Amino acid sequence: MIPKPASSLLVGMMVGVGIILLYGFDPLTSKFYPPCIFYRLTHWYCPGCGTGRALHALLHLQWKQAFSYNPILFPMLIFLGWDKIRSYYQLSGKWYLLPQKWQPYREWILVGVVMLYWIARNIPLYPFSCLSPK
Amino acid sequence: MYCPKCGAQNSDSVSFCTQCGASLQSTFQTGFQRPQFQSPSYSSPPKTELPPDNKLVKAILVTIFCCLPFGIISIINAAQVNSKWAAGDYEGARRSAFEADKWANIGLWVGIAVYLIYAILLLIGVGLEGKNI
Repeated sequence: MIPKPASSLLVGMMVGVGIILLYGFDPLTSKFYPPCIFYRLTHWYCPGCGTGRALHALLHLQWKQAFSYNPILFPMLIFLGWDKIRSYYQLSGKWYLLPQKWQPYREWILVGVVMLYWIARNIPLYPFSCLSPK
Repeated sequence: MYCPKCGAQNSDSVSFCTQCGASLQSTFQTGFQRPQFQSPSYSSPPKTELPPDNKLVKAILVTIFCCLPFGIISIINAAQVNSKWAAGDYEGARRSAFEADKWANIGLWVGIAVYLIYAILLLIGVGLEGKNI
């Protein structure tokens, strides 16, 4: 296996290059971004479709635009960010986002919500069509 | 009775296994308590100990940006960590956390390799003919 500092450096470089590319080039008009494989094969949106455009908008501080490309991005960032903060400061046993008895199953709840989101954003009717990237 | 060490059948009157020599009496008499007190790492941890880090954020990032199939294996394992821990399966929780990290790393390196190959293909001029998404 590749030693830890080298792998961290490589991952860091990839993330850096990704941020610079996403800041400089809009995925909507640029042709070099890799397409979503799921969308190419099925022509259905996956839960991640629109994330590239949303991050481009976010790096340009266009919050509403970012939200419309992938609405689950913000709840996801809050949920995962809070979970990280809680485990980093060892706030175990308090400051739950969910009722305490659901807490052990929070990842399963997350997976379930993403699955429902996956189905919902492919329904071409009014309230659901807001979830599709456009 | 059967020997707890090698599984060989022994007469009830013997105190040592006729196959491997393991003591039959002591395990029979103290078998309930011994694992609890002599190997605390496998018994229930103190209440203050936290479940292992499930690496869920890494798993999700790998799924979105690197490699969907391996990322999903990682998420399934990550999701089992806290539910197993809550059910008292501490060893299973640790194993799931280890598996989650392993598959996230595999996905990460597959993803990096794919991106590098993709970048090389772009640089030598294999275009996508405008099929952007």
